[in-house]
This record gives sequence, structure tokens and C-alpha cells, in this order.
Amino acid sequence: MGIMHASMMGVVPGGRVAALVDLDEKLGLNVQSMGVEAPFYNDLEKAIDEIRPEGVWIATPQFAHRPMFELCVSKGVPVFCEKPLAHTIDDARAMAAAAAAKPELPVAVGYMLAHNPLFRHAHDLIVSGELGLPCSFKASTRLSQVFSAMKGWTFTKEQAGGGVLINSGCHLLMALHVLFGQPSRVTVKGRGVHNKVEDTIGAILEYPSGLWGMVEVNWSVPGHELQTHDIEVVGTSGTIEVGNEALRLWLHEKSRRNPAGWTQWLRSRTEPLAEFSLSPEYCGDEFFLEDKDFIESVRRGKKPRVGIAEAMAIQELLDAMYRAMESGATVEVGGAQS
Amino acid sequence: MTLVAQVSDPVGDILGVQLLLGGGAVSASQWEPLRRMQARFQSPEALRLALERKRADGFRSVLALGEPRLLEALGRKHTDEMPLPLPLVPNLRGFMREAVEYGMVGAGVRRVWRGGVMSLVGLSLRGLTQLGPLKKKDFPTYLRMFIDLELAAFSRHDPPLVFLQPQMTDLAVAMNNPRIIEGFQAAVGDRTAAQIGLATANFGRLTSALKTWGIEVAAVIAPWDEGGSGMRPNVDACIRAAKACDFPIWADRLGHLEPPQPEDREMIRQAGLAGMVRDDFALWADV
Repeated sequence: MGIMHASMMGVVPGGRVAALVDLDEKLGLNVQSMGVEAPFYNDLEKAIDEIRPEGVWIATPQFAHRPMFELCVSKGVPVFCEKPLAHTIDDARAMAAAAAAKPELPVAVGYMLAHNPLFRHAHDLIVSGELGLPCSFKASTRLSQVFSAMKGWTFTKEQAGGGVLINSGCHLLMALHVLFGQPSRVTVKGRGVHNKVEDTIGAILEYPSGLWGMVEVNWSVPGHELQTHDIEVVGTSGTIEVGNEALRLWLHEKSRRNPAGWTQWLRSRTEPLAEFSLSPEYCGDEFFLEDKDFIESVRRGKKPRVGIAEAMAIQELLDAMYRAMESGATVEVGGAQS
Repeated sequence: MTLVAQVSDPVGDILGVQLLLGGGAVSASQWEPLRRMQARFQSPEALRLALERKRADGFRSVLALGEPRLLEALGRKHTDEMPLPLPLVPNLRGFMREAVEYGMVGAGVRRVWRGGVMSLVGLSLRGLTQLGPLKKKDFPTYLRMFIDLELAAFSRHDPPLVFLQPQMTDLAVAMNNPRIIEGFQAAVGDRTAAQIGLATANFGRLTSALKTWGIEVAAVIAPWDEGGSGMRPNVDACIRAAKACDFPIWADRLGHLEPPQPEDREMIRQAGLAGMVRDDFALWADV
């Protein structure tokens, strides 16, 4: 992800990489040879003191986020932190507290699906009543990544905080957050098919309004080389299907705004679009837009689209889902709206 | 014979098979028809028959990823019954897929194996001159060697044109690093007598960058459609850039499930494009 953000700095208006920071000096050389003309540091504090950057992108594994995040905030440097905010709820809450102490400081979190206008448009369709009363939904994230026991931090509870749910499923949870806000209760089954962490989960999310939905997240599915996020919402007037690439609305009868039958919006034709995309097949527009959004929040003092409050909502939900998975019980979600 | 005449079908198109091989982003409603279609061409034999049929339909060339199934279907050497492969390298997604299954080293070994022992000898000799940059983890040098290995599988087909995969082209553009393109150019020169082409998702910026770098290419593949989808930074900039180009441009149609409509053809004709890389469901419906 660091390379993706570094390359975006070459094309997002006003962007420039001022310094590279990593513990591994060879990695620094490798990134410099890609074309990043910036000095390398193995100490973030030294880099901040010497370079005085306008912002810092934290694109490390989540177990390393907190100390760097707190350092940046304490020095008054705006931060873009990759998702999830942290591997534990305690770290995430500490980071939120640090950010709350400096409310004027821009803090953004890398949930790129929140920058996809299709999910926001789906939300608008729901709240405007096009769907009637939303009754239930099905949501899934699938990818082809894990087909045997894997090594590395991504597959350890201690460093990643879990398996497929926290590493990949958190994007789907953010998309659901855009659509419906925060659920109040969760019930979860998880299974480590190949690993000690969960490789697949199934969950039921319940909302204060009475809406409920089923969530499936699985990174051991063949044929999904690109991660997919698909949500189907059933309402009393029709159905919405929304994913990375398309939003489809089906109405039993015409409404004031849409005809009966199917209406479709494609991501590739829905503004905002990116002026540059490094991965058009997988959220390339969103990677550009989230970096542009952060730069604008730093330069113009506007609130980032995904800030600490939104990221904490997902973190509280993740925590509740892991507690539900471990206990086998239905669990109340912290930070839920009444 | 011009390059365009050598590789295009009578309406200017090149055959694409990424959709068949599992590429291209589709929406949830397209999953089932896509799976059904992909299932029909799972075996190299079925794929070979489909390619032969498309050659008979007039497609002279196919944009070819270094996928084992496709390589087996194409055979070790080109024949007139098959479209001429135009390699699209490196096959990053294929590498990542194998890396998931066999690990990064295992995936590398499999590429060496596919290229044959002699390809490894050639690569080793060239690698000796690159020990310094390799030790420093120099990305363009690594990319050059990676592409070199992948091209070994295509060398007996004598491709007239090799394309750099869009993420690599666009990484070079984003990083303003012509060494990435030069590394590709060197690898193609080491392995083949082909000219170089670039695939991109950012046509407007690429043409500006090529001018700045002073790099000449033989062809470009870029997104282009009647609705302006994928034409970055915007439709007008792409049309202006295309008119200023002296190399052929093919419209990338990956992600379009429907066949091109007359208005698509008209837009391409007006912009002066050579044709399209067809990669849609309709291509395979009759096979």
C-alpha cells in the first residue's frame, strides 16, 4: 500500500513524497529505484523533525500503527492511516483519544470504499424511500488469497487482530456503515479452514431500526482474484444490488425518480472519477480520491471523508464481531446509535 | 506490410482473452454468465479450438498473457491456424496467483521452468552484467529480468509486438521514471525482434510523459469507449492526445461485456484509432 500511495503522490494535484521511512533500508532503495526521489529514514521522529512534512501516510501492518500515529499527532502533523486503525480495540481507542486531543488536526483512515460514490448513492436511495422500508440485506466479500496454512503477520491474531474479517472484511463493514450506519447487535460464526485465524466468517448484523442482514467474508474462494464487495438490500418496494463496479435498483412499480424494473449506475461513469488510476480493475479511482481528499483536508482545512469517528465505528464493530465469534453469543456493539 | 495490417483483423481489431482467463472486473449480476463462459474454456484444448475458430473469423493476433493454459493452447511455435500472440508482460496477476499457492520463490521457479533451461542460461549471462543493480534491489533491473523470463515462452512465436502491462506503464508515468520503460525495452530486445507497445489506463498522461522522456513506441492500448469510460484524465484530453500520436492506438475494451456498437466504431474512427482489443462475451458465444 505504501507504493500505491507513493505513486499517487506523483499524480494527485499538490502531492509530493518528501521522505520515505521504513525499518528496512533495502526496501527504501527499492522504492527509490521505482522513481521516488526522496531521502530515506529509518526513524520517523527524525524524518518529521528534519523534513517538517505537511502530512504522514502510515502504511505499515496494523500492529505498528499506534506509536507512529501518536507521534505524528503529538507533533501536530496530519495523518493518513491505513485501515484498520489498529489490531486491538485498546490501541484504536488510544489513537482516537490522541486525535480527540487535537480536534483541528486532519486525520484520515484508508477505507477507500467510502470514496466510491455508488455506495453513497445506494444510501441516498434507501433514505429517500425509493426502496420502501428496507427489510434485510445480504453482503459478501470474497477473494482468492488463502488456500493453505500461511505465514506472516497477516495470519496471526497477535499482530493482525484476526484473519479475513479484520484484514479484508473491514472494507465491507465500511460499505455497510455508509449504507446503514452502526448495527446494535452481532452474531458471528468463524472458521479457520487453513489457519489459526479465521479464513471465513458468517454473521448476522442487527440494527436499531429492526433491519438485519447476513454477512459472509471469505478469502479462500477460487475465481476471485480481485476482491469483491457485494451487497443486496431487499425493501418493500424493490431491491438494490451494489458493489465496486455497479449499482442496480429494481422497483416493482415506478417511483417519482426511477422507472419500474432495473436502473443501473456504473462506477466507470459515475462522478467523482479519478484523473489517474493505477489499478482500474480494483478501486483505482478510490485510491486516487482518498489521497486527494487527504491532501485537500490538509491544505484547505476540510474534514476528511473517512476520519477517526468512522474508523472507530468499524473498529468497535470488529471488536464486537470477534467477541461474538469467540463466545458464540449475540453481542452488543460498542458505539452503536440508539 | 504495416504493423497494423500484420496484427489486425479486417476491421482493425485484436483478439483479447483476459475475460476468458479470469481477468476484468464485473458486477455481481455478471458473475454467473461469466463463470459459465469461463468454465467452457477451462482446458487448453477447448481454448485452442476457440482460438482457431477466431483465427478463421479473421483475427490475426491475440493479446496474450503468460498464462500456462493459454501458452499450452498456443503451442510451442506459431502456425497459420492460430492468431499470432502479442505478449502482454509481465503477468503480475498470474505471478501473484502462483505466489499464493507456491510462495514467491516457487512462483519464480515455475516461470524459469516454463521458459526452459536455455532461457535460464541466457538470463544468467545477462544477469552477470546486472549484479550491481540487482544487489541494490533496483526495480527496473528486476522488472527487466522478470519480463525476460516470461518472454522466453513466446520467443518461438516471433511476436512482432510486445506490450507492457498497464500497471507497470502507469507506475512509470506516476513515478515519472522512464527507466521502467527502458528496462522493458531492453528485455524485449534481448529476447525478440519485436517492437514495443504500451498498455495504459492513463492515455493522456502517458503521451505527455513519452514526449518528455523522448521514448518512441510502436503502439499503445488504452481504454476508449463511446461513454468516455476509463478515458483519463478526460475524453477531450484523450482525443487531442490521440490526434497528435504517430503510432497506432487500439481501444482497450476489457470490462465491456457487450460487443462494440456502431457508435463505438464511429468514435474510434473519428479519433483515428487503429481498432479495438475485443474482449467481450459476444466473441465466444458462437464457439
